[in-house]
Amino acid sequence: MTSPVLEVKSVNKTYEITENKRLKVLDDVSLELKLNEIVAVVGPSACGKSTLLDCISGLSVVDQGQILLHKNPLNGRTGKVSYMMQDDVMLPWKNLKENIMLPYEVNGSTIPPEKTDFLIKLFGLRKFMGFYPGEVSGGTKQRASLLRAYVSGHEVLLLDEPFGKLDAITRHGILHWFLTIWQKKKLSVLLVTHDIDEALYLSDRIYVMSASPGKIISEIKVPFKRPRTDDYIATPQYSGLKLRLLNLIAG
Amino acid sequence: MYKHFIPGLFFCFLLIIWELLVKLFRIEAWLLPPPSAILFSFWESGSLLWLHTDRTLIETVAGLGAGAVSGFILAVAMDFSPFFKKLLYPFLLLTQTVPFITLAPLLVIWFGFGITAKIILIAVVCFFPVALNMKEGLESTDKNLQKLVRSLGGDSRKIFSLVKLPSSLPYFFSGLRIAAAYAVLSAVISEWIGSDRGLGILLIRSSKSFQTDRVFAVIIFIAFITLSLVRSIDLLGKKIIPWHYKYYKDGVKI
Repeated sequence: MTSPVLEVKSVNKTYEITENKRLKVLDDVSLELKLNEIVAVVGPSACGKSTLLDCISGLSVVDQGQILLHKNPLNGRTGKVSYMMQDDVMLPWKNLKENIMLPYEVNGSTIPPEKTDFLIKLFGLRKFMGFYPGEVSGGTKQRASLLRAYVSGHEVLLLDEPFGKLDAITRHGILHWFLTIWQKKKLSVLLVTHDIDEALYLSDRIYVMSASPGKIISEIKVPFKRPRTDDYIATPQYSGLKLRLLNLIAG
Repeated sequence: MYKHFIPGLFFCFLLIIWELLVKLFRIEAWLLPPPSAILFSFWESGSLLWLHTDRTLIETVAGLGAGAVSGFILAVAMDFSPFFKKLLYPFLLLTQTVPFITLAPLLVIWFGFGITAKIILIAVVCFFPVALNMKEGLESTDKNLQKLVRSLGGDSRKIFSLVKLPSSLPYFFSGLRIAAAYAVLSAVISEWIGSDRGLGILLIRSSKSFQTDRVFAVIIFIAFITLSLVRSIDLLGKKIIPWHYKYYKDGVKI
């Protein structure tokens, strides 16, 4: 058994909305991510999934508990993991290319163009490179922000609803690319989604989260072998797992 | 071009009516000169106009520049230091209601009738719209964009240069636009108080000698200067913040 790359240990987080109005978002959340593993966190909307990723990325500070990256506490430090936020956040004053290269600009490092040119082509983004984010569709922006998270180059990749806005065909291609890259680069991926099919297609394990306060209620191993072809979707095992997940999420 | 054609035609029509009415009712030229006389006055006192324009223009540009730069710096300083903001913002709000043009006589006492007093007055007048707009721009920066740069490991200086500054530039330019109009106005008024040169003093002299056609000419010329200044600022804005003008047409998001 390999040791976990990322560990979330009994994390609690409460938001203070007003002085006497508090909202507990994360309740004793623990999970771990091993090397070269894809783990999904599924749950209903507003169950604290994004807050969890915010805490891991260092954008939010946890109230209690610990987040460890290779056994080193990470609490509140940013720039240690790659993070694709929800809502395809793009700087409106930079074109798509500059937005994708933002990690390099923030860190002041030089850009290796040959590598990124290949990726840009693969993502079907080449003809949009000179466009401003306001001029392209949501799906295009989503692909660009996935690519940006990838080029920021950390071992752990956090993804918040990364494929939600893609059309079925593009999505299939991107998911396939994603699995290929993941296998080649030994990435460890923590994926947050409300799409059960996506979670079953991509991940090795699935954590099910309940809403308000967000709590891990179940951990499920996904038994399908890799590389996964589309055939397994037709198996009764798949349907059974999907039904079980649906029931868990519904509570 | 077409959208200016019909209003332009209408304007010419109004000028003709004016010309005809003045001729028809034999109105004295010192009371209301006909447009033709005003046009002639431009030709007649053209060199005089230019002679006085350079002073007014220098005052305006120097004052506007000084006011804009210090307004920008104050807004940025308030953004970096919450203490600074707490200390100064109430004053900034309060002084918004003060008509700073009334400081002109005071500045004359302190700095005399020279160019210094004028530049200081214009700078003070221009400072506030720029500082307030810039501050608002910095504050209304999208939190998600700041989060993005922070998640990539950016510190507050990176957040400022990559997010806050570009995000607030449209606000800065709208402040500068307002300030530009104030600047010309303040230059002219401060010259009324006393000056040896400038369009303001030319205006007063022409008025006192009942050269009404020249009064009109100077007014039109001042309006022209203000318009050109505002237009240059808009052009500069389009150069510096092109993305803003791609999304917004006439201030409306497209």
